[in-house]
Amino acid sequence: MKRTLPLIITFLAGVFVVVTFFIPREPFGSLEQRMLVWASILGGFTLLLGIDSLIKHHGRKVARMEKDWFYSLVTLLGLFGTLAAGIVTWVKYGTPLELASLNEVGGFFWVYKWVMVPLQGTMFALLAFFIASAAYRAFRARTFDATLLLVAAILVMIGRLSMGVIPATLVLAILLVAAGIHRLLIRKPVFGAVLAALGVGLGALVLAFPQDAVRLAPQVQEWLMSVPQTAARRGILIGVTLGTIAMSIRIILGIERTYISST
Amino acid sequence: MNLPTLLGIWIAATLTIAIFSFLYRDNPLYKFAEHLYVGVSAAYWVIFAAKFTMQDMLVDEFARNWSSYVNQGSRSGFWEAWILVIPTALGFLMLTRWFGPKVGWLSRWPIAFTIGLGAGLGITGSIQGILLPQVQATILPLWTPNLWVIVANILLFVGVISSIIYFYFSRPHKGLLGGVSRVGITFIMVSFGAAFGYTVMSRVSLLIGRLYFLVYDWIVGTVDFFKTLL
Repeated sequence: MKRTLPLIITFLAGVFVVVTFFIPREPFGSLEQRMLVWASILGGFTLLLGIDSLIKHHGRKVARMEKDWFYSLVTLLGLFGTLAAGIVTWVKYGTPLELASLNEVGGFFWVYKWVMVPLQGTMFALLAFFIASAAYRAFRARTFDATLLLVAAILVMIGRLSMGVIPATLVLAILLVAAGIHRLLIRKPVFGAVLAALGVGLGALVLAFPQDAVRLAPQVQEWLMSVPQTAARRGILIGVTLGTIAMSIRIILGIERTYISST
Repeated sequence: MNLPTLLGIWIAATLTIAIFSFLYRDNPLYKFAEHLYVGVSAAYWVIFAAKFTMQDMLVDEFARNWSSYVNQGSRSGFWEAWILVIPTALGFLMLTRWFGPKVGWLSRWPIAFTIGLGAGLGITGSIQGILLPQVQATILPLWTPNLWVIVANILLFVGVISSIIYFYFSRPHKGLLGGVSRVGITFIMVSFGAAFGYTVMSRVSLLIGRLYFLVYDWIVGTVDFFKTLL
């Protein structure tokens, strides 16, 4: 009962979805959609478990005045404050997503626009700095592969610039020449010469044809994104999909059953 | 600009600066903003799910079908209403985890249902939605009047095949397999580099957005607000 029934439910649900896919007639045609709605409803209930866990975790810290309890209090105040804003707006307008609440201090949309959006946007914006520091470590042109990574990344960045394409390309050229000289000095003559030649060539081209460089930069970026980037991404995606299909078959047949042991 | 907007802009600016203060180092201001974000976003998703899932998909759907049964005698309305008992019951079974392991094991049933549904979609959805379209998009003409298109199509085909082969680990990468996987890693490196550059630029544009907000919405906006008052 505790282990076998869940396996049967998984098998029936999985097979049912596959079968309905191959029978596009009523009542089967709409059943897949109906089951997705059921899964969404289940997701709604599951969210309650998550919120309960969040409240318990932070509530315990506040009650026991553990280390950093004040921040847990902030989390709880943010949670209940936003819930209250949502409920009040819901009761007042019949829906929590009422645009008029944007002009009311404490309205649900007001909280969304002036608290959640800035926090979320700035969190992601902050990543720009950490990505830059990660790039410094990852992009040191030690090997051929790392150089490819470096050049592709910089070309895409230059191609997406709205201005300053020429100085940025010259910086790239200087970086390539410097990396090439460094390789020459540490006795990697071929690789060093290729890098230096690339840098000199790129710099000379940009200086000789500045107008073309500005025009070509977005095109190069576009080509990089649509050909080599798409090719490798597609290869990975096809591999991931084949893995997903294999794992799904294992789950439906009950070979993979770790999801039961976790509860 | 009205007063609620001005107040909102000041709160948003304070929180923006609080998050940016992490660039100096981890500090109480950042921790405050970080913890506030956790609470606010959790509540946002609760309200979102309550409205679009619980109300729209469950309560309103039940009421609509039940009223069509009561008012028009629709048999399908009757069944459409009561079939919603199944996901509701499964949802309540999920909540049995609150009451400890004695009854908590019942939550395996809705989990099993969701996993089974996901696995079923993992087969049909993946094949129809990802695998076939991706394969179809790779089978391109290798001979066209445009030389650049020929080069692009050949590169695309070679890149896809070699990238897949790079992830084939059932045999050691030697000989032909080694050579092809070497080509694969070249494509993968260019792809990662390009994706990295793209991500950097999107993050930088977000950064510019936040800085723009601080300068124009916050500082200039506040000055304009008080100018209009005076």
